[in-house]
Amino acid sequence: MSTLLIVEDNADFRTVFQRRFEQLGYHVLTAPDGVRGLQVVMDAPLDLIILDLNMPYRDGLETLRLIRSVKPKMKVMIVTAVMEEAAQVEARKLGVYEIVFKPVGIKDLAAAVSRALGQAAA
Amino acid sequence: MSVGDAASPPARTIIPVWLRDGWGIAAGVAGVYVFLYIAATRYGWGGEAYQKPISDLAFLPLSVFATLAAWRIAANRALDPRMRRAWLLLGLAIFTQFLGDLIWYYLEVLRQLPVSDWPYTAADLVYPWFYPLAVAGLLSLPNAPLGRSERLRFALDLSIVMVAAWMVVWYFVISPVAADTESGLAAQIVLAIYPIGDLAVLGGIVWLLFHRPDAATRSALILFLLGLLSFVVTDIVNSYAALAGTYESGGWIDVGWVMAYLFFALAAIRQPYLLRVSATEQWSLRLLNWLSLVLPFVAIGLGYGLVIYAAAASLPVGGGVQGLFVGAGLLTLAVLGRQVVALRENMRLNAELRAFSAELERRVEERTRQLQESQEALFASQKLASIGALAAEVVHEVGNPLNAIIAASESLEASVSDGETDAESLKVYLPIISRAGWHAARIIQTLRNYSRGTQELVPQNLSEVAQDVLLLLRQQMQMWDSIKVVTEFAPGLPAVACDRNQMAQVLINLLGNARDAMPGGGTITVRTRPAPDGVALEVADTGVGLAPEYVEKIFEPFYTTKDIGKGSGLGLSIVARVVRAHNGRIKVHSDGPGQGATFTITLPTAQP
Repeated sequence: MSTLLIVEDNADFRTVFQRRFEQLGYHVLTAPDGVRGLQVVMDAPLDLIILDLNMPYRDGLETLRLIRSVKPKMKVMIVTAVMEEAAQVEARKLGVYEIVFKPVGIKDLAAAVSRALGQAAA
Repeated sequence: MSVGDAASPPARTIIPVWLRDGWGIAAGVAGVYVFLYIAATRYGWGGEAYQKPISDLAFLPLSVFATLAAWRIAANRALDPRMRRAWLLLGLAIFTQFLGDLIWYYLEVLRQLPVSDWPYTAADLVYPWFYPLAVAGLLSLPNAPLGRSERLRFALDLSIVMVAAWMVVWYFVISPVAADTESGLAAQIVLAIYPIGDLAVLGGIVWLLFHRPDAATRSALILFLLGLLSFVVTDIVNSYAALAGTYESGGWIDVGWVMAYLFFALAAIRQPYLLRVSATEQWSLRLLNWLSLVLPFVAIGLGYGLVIYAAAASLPVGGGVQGLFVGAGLLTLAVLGRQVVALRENMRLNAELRAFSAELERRVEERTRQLQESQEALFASQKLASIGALAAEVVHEVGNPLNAIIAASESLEASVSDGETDAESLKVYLPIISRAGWHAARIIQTLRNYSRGTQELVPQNLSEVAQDVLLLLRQQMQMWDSIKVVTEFAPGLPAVACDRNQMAQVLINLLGNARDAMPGGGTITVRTRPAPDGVALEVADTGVGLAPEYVEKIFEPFYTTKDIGKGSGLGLSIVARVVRAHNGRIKVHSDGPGQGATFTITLPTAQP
């Protein structure tokens, strides 16, 4: 069973995501911000991190850099409403697998997740 | 004391930097040597028999030392070639004195001949070479070229000094020598050569002085000029003494020459340090400027004083006194010329000054206009930036709940098609959908007020405007680290005439400032209350506060206490502009740094 971590500040979205992806057979961990997300990254074995960049307390890219310093090979996906071109380039440099723009349906998100994990398996 | 320690700041000590190396120590030894020599002269150490040997021998090491110090500069490839050539010539000049002294020592001490009584010796073939070499050296020292208008003044100043010096030397030395036909022509020539040479060297000194010597030459030049003056004055006194037949080896006259050598050596040791020591340079520049200003006047006084002396002493009108008259006439002409030059210069400067101030006025006007224009442009771009920021805010504020709705309804749909819909899923997803929908709707509602462009003053309740803004910022304010926002809205306030959109922007600005003022967290109080002539809206923080001197400036454009890059310094000036456009007032109060700040906006009550 693959383990996902979603770092997302919107509690509603977190709840929906967790419930739906658990129904789809994933083990789902959540964190409301980058600081707590990083704690999870360090504590638990993960297969994929789904990062919402518009997060309180710590800029998403900063969180990404910290994750990379702890787990250089970790698979990361970004979900965001707006992201500047420069930030996108920066994120890709930091090895982000995919950038998904909101609004995004849960089906599309599930497809993106299995895509990311499928590639990991291959 | 660690002299060579580069890390320690240059300490102010009695010993200057340029005397803190091997050459400086040698100069110190030379100084003690000269002091002992003066003492020996004063107290007649060694008795009558040793007076001459001591004195004649005393010159030799000092002149060698001064020569070597000068040639060390000439050998320093790091220095200006002109300066090196100058010091080579100056070293040669001093070396001629060493050679002359050597001959004199041989004749007077080793051969025991009564040279002091002779009109001239073989040494007199060597000594005079000092003058051309010294003049050539002085003229090749680096100096600033004179401007066209300065050249005439320079020529007049130089002639004033030279005429006066010539009068003195003429009256006391040359004219008596010329009159003394007993000693023969050779003796006359030898006696006259020294004062004439001295005049030439003096001319070189004055020439250099009026040419504003190079910064690198100044400080050493002071020392070198002291040496030359000592040399020249001693020379002239000596010529006078020789004429009177009172010169004695080992007398006070020799002290002057010894001092001159010491000054030459010090100047040469000083020279390489010039570019590094700047505090003294200022001092030496001022002294040189002062000297070049004062010298012509001293010369005028000296020249006329000599004439008055000759008249008062009722001297017989001979060659000497006639020369003085000629000199006085020349001096008068030069002074008159100098006066004319100064007058013309003043007129020119006056005209230049007027033209300059007119130009300055024009430039100030132009700059002011440019500044106003760029300020207007910045206001416009600031407005654009705030629209951009608002758009990003809306994308996030409306996008997030929409996405939650989509995700929740899709999840529900998936559950239905999987056939596992239960009351539990409905209880989770439906409230999310309705909550998110309402949140997005409220945001849209608030944004409607922003859609109007121009200012529209309509009666509004300030408390409602503030509530709207706080709702819009609710989500964002939750992210503000340990900052609490409290509201104190007074009930039943009269309406004020205001543009809801603009006043909301003012409040957003003030809230942003309050947050930035509290990096360590705190409380923001948004308060409305009745004011004597309207309604007051206050934003108070518990942040870094303001020093009294900033209170005046804070509403000026471009004024900011934030770090570079964090604020444009325009926010509060725009706030002030908007408030003024509402016929309102804004002020800030702070009890000082660390005491927080309160911004108070007062708007007049709307006229019914």
